[in-house]
Amino acid sequence: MNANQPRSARVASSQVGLMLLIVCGAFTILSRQFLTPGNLLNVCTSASVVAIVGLGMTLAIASGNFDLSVGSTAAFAGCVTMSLVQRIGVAPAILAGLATGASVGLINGLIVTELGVPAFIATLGMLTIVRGAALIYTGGRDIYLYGQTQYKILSSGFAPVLLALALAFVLWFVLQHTRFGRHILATGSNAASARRVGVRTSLVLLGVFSIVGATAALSGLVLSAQVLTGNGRLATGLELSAIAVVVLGGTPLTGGKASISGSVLVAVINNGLNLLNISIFYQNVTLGLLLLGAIALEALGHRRTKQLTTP
Amino acid sequence: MKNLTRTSKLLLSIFALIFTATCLTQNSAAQGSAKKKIGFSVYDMQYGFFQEMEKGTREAAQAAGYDYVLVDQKSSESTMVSATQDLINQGISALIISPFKPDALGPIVDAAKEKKIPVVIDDIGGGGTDYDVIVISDNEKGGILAAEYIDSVLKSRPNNSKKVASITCEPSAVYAARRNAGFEKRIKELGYQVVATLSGNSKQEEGYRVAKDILSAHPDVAAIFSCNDPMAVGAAQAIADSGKSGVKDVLVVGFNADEIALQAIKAGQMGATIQQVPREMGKMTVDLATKLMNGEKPQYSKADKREVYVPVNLITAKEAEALLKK
Amino acid sequence: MSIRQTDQPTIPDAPATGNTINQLDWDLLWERFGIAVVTVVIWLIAGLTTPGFANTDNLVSVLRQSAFVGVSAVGMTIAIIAGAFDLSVGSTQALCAWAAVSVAKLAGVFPAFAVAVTLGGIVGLCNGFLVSLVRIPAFIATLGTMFLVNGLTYIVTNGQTARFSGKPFVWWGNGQVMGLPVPSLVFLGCALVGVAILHRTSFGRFVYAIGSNREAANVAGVPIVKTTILIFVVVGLFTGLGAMLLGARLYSAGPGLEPGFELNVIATVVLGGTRLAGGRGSMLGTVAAAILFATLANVLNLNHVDAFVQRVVVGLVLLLALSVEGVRRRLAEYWTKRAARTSQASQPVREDQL
Repeated sequence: MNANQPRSARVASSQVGLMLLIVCGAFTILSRQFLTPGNLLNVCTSASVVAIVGLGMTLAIASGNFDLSVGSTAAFAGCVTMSLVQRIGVAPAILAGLATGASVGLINGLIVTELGVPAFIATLGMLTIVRGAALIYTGGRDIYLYGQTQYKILSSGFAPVLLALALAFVLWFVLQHTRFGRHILATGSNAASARRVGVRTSLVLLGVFSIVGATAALSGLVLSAQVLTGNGRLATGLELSAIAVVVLGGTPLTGGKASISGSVLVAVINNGLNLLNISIFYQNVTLGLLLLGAIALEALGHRRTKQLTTP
Repeated sequence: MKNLTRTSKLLLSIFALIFTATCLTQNSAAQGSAKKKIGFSVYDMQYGFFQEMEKGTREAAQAAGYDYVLVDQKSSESTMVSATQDLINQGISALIISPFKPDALGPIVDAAKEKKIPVVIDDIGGGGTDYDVIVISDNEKGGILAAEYIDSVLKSRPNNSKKVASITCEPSAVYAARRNAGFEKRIKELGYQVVATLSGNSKQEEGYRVAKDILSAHPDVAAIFSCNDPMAVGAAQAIADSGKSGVKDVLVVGFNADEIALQAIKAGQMGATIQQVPREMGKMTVDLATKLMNGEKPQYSKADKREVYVPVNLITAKEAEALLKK
Repeated sequence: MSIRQTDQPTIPDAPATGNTINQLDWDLLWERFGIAVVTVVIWLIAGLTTPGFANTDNLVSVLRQSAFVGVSAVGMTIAIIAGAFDLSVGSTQALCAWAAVSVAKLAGVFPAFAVAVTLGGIVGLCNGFLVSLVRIPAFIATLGTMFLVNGLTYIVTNGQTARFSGKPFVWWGNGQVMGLPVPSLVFLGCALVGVAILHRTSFGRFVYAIGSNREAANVAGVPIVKTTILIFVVVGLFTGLGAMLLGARLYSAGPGLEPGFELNVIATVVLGGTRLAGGRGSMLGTVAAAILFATLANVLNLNHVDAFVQRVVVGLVLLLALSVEGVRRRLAEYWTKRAARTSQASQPVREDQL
């Protein structure tokens, strides 16, 4: 499992940026509605939802792991919050939801560090467990809070975008400018060496997974705020979207910046195809082509630079 | 490494021995119990619709004095076949199944026929197999009802754009797709234009996202029909978030009459939904199973396809209130 | 022969305690046979406690069900031993199964088999090309192929499922030979072929080499590019075969068949004892794990366990099985630390120990 790709972030971001420009240009020409402020806000909002969990996933990948349970965690947190909003108030309920996500993340971390189970499998197991837990918690019923205006704040206007940007900044800062961040990167490149120089990799991983869980929960809260429903089926498949946008965005090792551009690109494509009333079949094909194309270009570019620099 | 190969062989032979031993001491699954057993294989208990269907089936089976066994297909055709096989192997006297993928019913019906177990299908579709009877709500008719309802409401809004949109379920749900097909055909006949047909993948949050895109592309869209209620509620929320009304500005109509839709309709956030009656359908299937187990022939609505129709009803604000109280 | 290079070890560190030889044996034994033993034990327990389990029809059904994930898992085992994995097997299976059913309808069983396996091989070829020549990491390349093939299948089929119930075709998924289900026999055959590939061909040796230490393998002259491509082709071929069996079993196939299949396959391989890090693996483990998953689903159904709870149980079993080694190691560390502390306390410190 190769989580360490020694490529320059600048190369990656510019590639995605270029693709973004091309795609935006195309859609602007093809659809009158694309460049309208309302539509652009929609694009940014749906990008933000995936970006929030994508940012957490970036952290996980930077530490050398994946987290496949983020979709289930998002659903569970959404269910917990929605079930509590009317009983303990909006803010406490939100905190409870985030805490739920962080706890799930912590459990993931413990399974990886204490039980020695590889992250891929640990989170794969938790994927089914947490999904089952969410369904058991709600008894399979949907909790619809149709009158709830306060909670809506999470999903209205610029809130999701602001949340994503704030999170991006915080995580970028953590990765680049704190000791914790350096430890995360060290653990990601070579856990054994990191341990030898004194990095407490177990604690680092516990922290990382808890953060991933919390970001997944936040994503779930925003989604459930959009539809004002807590349901156990929420966000199925979110983990793959998160990984896809992280990968698209370029090198995980430099943090936040990478993930935002990837999620914007995917959101733009989905939105544009919807505006043009193009079948959903093509959305998957496009995503696949994008992923492969982006990484391929990057890999080939890197190879050429290598050839140029080696005597 | 010779030790390991020897041990592998040893383990395989133990396995084979156990297998043979259990075959030789074969117990027939039905342990001479006087009660008849009814098996119900359900599409996916994650959905309110099927929870209701299961409730109706279970209550009717228990009221009729049968043993009742349930398996969940968990939205997987492979699980549908293997889990239903588990039912068949438990010595049930009748099989009721609400199939995730009717096209994959072939092996199930064949296996049931081999054991002389009557097969009653509850909704979705029959997959062209040799089932004994299928209880089916008319998906296409439901779509038509929705179209006619939308027309009746929009008629009183003379300046409406005559544009409508249609949100479909996940692409593999081909039987649910008949709802949208029926809707689009009828609404076009009534003189409207279908400006967008987009898939929400049957997911509530995607219904939200897709509805937002529809509103962006066609700000003057007059109505949205959704293949299921979760997506309809999502769409209604999207419309509310855009500062509009899911009743007065963009009329939203769903399908299923799930609890969340009834609540949304009562709260004035969406216009209507098409009701299927899953609990009654569950009861009907048990009654039909009883008939079949007694060797009687059921009364078909359409004999050549062995179909028993269940009417679908339009549920607007008036009816929603009453339904919620039940 | 090879130039020694310092690399991060891909094989997990052996515990630095006394009694090393015994510890390694336990780990190795558990890895190779653990799941097989667990499966046998569960069969015994289930046979005694779960009504309806120990009857021929049911056991045949369980074995049959294990084959569809199993055949693909055989190929995946080889890939994971080499340190790669393939996320596109789910989408590939849907495409190949649909093709198999459609071709069977038109031309019969053998052409269906040929088309399914070939299509699988072609997807594998693409994956192999992307990973070895374009140098995209396997995880990402196969993630991309997964989306691509999924979308293409929908487009080609226009979202429609193909259906065919011809007896010679469906026999491959539903029939029995000497009381054993046909797909299971195919599964067994594939496992044996897989073992033969791994242990009796130079390709197999290369797979192990690349999995243990890629750089060293490269320096030692292992044809990395060719082997990598072949690995993905092998995964694709097995997946195509399994797809045909599944199409036969279901009398049908279409786009969106079995979402999450790829994760089930990978979980089966890892549960069977093959390390994700690569370098070693157990085909017996893969077979046992496939049977174990099918058994688990069956036992849960026979015991009428609620569907939501079933999800939790399946995840727990996976985690439990994979924690065994970690827990055992922890306990061993704890005990030996304790022993070392008590023995050190009773011995004077010697100069050469400082």
